[in-house]
Amino acid sequence: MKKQPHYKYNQRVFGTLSATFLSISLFVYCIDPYWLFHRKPVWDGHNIVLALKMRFTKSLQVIFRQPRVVIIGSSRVYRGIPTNKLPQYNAYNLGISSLRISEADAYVRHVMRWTPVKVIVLGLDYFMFDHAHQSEPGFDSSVTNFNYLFKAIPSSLLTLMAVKDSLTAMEGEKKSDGHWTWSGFKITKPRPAERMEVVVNTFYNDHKEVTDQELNKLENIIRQTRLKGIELKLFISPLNQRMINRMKKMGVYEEFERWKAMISEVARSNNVKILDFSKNNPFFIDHTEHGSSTHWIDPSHYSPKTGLWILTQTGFLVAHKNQNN
Amino acid sequence: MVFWNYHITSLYYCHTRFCAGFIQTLHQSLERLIKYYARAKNICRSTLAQGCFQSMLFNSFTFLLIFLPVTLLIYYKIVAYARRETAILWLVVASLFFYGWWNLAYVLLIVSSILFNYLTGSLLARYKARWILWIGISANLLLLIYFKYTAFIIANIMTLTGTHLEINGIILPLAISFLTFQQIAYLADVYSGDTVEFSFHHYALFVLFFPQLIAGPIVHHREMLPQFTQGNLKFRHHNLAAGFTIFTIGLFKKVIIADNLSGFSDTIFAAAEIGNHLTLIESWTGALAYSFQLYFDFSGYSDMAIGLARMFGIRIPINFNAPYKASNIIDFWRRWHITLSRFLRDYLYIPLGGNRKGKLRRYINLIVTMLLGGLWHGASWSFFIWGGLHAVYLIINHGYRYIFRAFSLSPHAGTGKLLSTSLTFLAVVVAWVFFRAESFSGATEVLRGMSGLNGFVLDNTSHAATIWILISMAIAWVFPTTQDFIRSPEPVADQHNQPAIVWRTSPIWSFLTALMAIIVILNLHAVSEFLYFRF
Repeated sequence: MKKQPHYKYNQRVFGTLSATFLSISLFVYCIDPYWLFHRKPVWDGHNIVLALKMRFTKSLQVIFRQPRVVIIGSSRVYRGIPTNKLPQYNAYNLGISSLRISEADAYVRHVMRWTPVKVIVLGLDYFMFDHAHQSEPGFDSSVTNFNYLFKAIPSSLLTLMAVKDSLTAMEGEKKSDGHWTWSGFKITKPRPAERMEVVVNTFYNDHKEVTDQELNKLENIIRQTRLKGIELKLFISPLNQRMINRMKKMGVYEEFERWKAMISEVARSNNVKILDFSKNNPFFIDHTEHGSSTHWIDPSHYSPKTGLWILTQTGFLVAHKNQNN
Repeated sequence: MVFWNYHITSLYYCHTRFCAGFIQTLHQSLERLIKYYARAKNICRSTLAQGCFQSMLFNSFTFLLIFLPVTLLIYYKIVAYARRETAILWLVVASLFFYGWWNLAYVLLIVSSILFNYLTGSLLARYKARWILWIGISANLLLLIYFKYTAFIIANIMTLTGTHLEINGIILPLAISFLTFQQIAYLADVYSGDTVEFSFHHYALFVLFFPQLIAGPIVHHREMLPQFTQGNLKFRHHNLAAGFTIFTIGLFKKVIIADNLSGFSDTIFAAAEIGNHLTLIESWTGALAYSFQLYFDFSGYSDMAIGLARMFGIRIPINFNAPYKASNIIDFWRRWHITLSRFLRDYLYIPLGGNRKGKLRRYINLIVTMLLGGLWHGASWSFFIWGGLHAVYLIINHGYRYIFRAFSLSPHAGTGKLLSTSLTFLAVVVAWVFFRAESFSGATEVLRGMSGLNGFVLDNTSHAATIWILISMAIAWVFPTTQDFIRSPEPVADQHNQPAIVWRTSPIWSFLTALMAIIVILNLHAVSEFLYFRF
């Protein structure tokens, strides 16, 4: 019996669509530019896409990893807290470049909804509470929505963005400044001396306005985690003398101290302990005149060795005698 | 004996080991199940508590990869077993799910509204009492006013009286504007005896049918209800072919054309809102970009609604018919949001008296209709002004039509048609500035730029914007409409135009359709809303 023309039409259309998208998704799955599916993908740790699309990537990675411990913070966290040293905890490093407190609030809710997380560690930085910057480019506010996954997972397989990112991932090795690990931590290459002053000069150039809106976000994080029975650990990122001097020079030191007092008050009123490592750390003298040192990648970012000390202070690791050297 | 003892012992041992292993596996599976159940419960609870839903858009993976295929498959499976009523019920459930994806709590509201109107309709059919009709219409309007206009009314009272009134955020239920009008039309027709009795689930589907639920068309019960009882709902390849093609064209218009234009218009209108002085080119770029963004957004949505319904073997009316080809404003309103114009004409303009009570009364009726039509789009004075502008345009149009008729002139002869089409388009673009702007000052800033009051500087406006606007113009003015060009096996709409390009089921057309769908899906990573969802 001769097939109807419309039957053949449908066959051709849906056949073409299926073949095309199967091919595309297979290609993207094999390359795995967002490091979701394979323990050892083809590009082996040096993938510039993970840095360029950090917010998108990590929002999906944390779901695929299903961690019990999640450490959230800025680039200081993802470069400094070596979660690959915590396999026993199944920890994931959700440090994101220039993370803002509003974004942190959204990611905490995202993590609580989709993972079996038991402990959340939140590294706080002064710039995160800047009222003028509620979020950064690449942040998708729908990450708190139930159907975010229905959008994000197909996007990571079927879209032009995924194809382009796959191609970028394949040529990434030359461009990346470090080596990503499965747990979201990035092993950063040592930085040269000339980079140090550049980093210092990018900080504290303007005054940050911290309003109730930002403090409420922190309070919301505390309340949400308490409601779900999740342990929340807060710490203020370690700083060094060079950064403190920079703050004093730019006239923001008092604002910084005021900010610390405000967030400490929020934590105290909600019966949550906040560990202040800003000056209370044994690595206050940074020794970065000649480039990256033992405890500092650059004047702003502490090294994984310092990160290990933080993990000890927060109770994840037992202190060793020579850990502070 | 020893052998048997050994054998039995071995069997017993193996059996015990097997049972132990089986029980252990079962226990582990149960533990896993309990863990997943607890996690799922946690997800649902946190989802409901946080109310973190987003409406299910046609241009989303959730809709395209999950909702639509599942709904279609199950629908036709049910229909194949000759269960028409069950298939209708399934569509009702699917449509409720579609609506509830946005906010589960508001499903109760919409179901209550449907129940109320159905019962009111039943009472009206039996008693034909005018007071029942008024209660029904008033209840619908009060619901709409409460959700849509309370904040606007209170804000204006505060401005006028200088007082401060606290109101908690009222969330506008999706689709309430469309549902209200649809159901009011139904009640009015029941009262005038223009309906036949239908079952509740047929009525529910007429209101809830998901292709037209969120942003129209405002379907008439006469168009829909007979299809549920008498229409052929069986699976037909031509319905799927035509429906999918129309849907894909609509999706392409929205995702590729409208969304690209939105970037340009958003930037320019945002600049106007903060008081930046826009140059001539910038302001015209913004106004034209928005005019075509809205055109393709709405045209795309209308195509998608028609295509989706067609995939289910159901026909819904066309709502958009190349409005920028209109040669006058009266013609424009017969092409733009056709079903809204129809509703306003039949249930507001004509009951007010229409053109039966003299010229002055006609113009008053026009003004009232267009002002309310403007306000229907949104609770803001800028929508009111937009409606008022169109009222003025219509009055002028009626006026010069009268003059032309009096002198036996044809306004559409030769270059007259080109001039009148251009003038109509210009008038519409000016009105869109108020429609788009978030404030009166923003709108006036754009219009100042457009009129050259900020200077005639030829600046470095984006070439991309110019290219997109030119492409949009070509499509809007040269290409046939979707309903003109999809005419197989029978015309979708009652059109007598014969376009040069007509869709066929040839390999080239199947490749083109697939290509359009591929381009759209590849660009779906940034999901954007339909503009008309906001109404």
